[in-house]
Amino acid sequence: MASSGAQSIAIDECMALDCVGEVAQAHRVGFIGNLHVTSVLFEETEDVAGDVLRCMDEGKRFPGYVFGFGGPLTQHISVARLEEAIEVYRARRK
Amino acid sequence: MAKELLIGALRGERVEQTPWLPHIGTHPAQLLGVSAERYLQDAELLARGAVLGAERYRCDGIPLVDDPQLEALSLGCVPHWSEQGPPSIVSSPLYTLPAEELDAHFPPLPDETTGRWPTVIAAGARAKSELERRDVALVGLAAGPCTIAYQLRGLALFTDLFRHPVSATRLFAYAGQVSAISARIYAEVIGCDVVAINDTPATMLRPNYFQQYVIPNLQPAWEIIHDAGRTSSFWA
Repeated sequence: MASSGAQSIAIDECMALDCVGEVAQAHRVGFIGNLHVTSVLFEETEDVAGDVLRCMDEGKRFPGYVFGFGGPLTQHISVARLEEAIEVYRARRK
Repeated sequence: MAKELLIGALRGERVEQTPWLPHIGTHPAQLLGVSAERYLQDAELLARGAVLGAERYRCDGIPLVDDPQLEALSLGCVPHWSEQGPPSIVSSPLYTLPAEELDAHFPPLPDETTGRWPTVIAAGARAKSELERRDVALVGLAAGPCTIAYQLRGLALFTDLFRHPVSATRLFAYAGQVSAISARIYAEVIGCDVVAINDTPATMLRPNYFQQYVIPNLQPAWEIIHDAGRTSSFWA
């Protein structure tokens, strides 16, 4: 994907973000990912803040990182959980 | 600043703050309180959904429409609509044909007047200025060659790859042309800042098939996006 000719790639939540960061850096492309979509569905037990921190801590080590999901949102999610995720992200954005 | 950050990062640069770009799916329909079926076919709802999503989640860019079946519907595939997500394809002009006959039955290539493109273009015209005012990038999301080939051919695509490689090669080349047309509409007609090619089914291919069938047929889309001065992205 990184050598496909695109300027950036977005990868799913199964990929290790730090490995993707290394590949993206080597190919000088940006990369987007990969918050677990399940962390914002309804009242899951998965810790949404922890997964945001995983993304930010691993992704920000490399140039070209863009915070995003590891897949498309379904229509019905817990908006409150997504807003919580965004608050955690914004605190780490700089 | 927000849009600039996002575009810089997507071009592989280290930027001052980490930007954020949601793969929004049909979630704006939930925010608007309407069904996904209605949302995806209404220019006003698509535009309002993009602006509402960008405001609510304070993102640096947002897709105009996130429906991997958009292209397939413009090629004569039959959808089954859903209340809560994008439609599913239930039949296609190529599903039951022998592989050797595929290229004689490829649907006419789409343009900005076919399928739901007029709705998407109208939505883009409304959303673009609103998002520009908020310094949020507008993202066009086009289906990739493997997605389109799979929607047209169904599961038989994956046996065509090794049983009928000549037919599969022609189908992927056709699908790549369709992706490139979508990229042109997003980049040149709507003026999206970022154009992404979404090709999730391509991740099911072996690496050599990915190299053989997908990579060459992405190139026309990248060329159009880059020639238009837009930023490209590959989602899978």
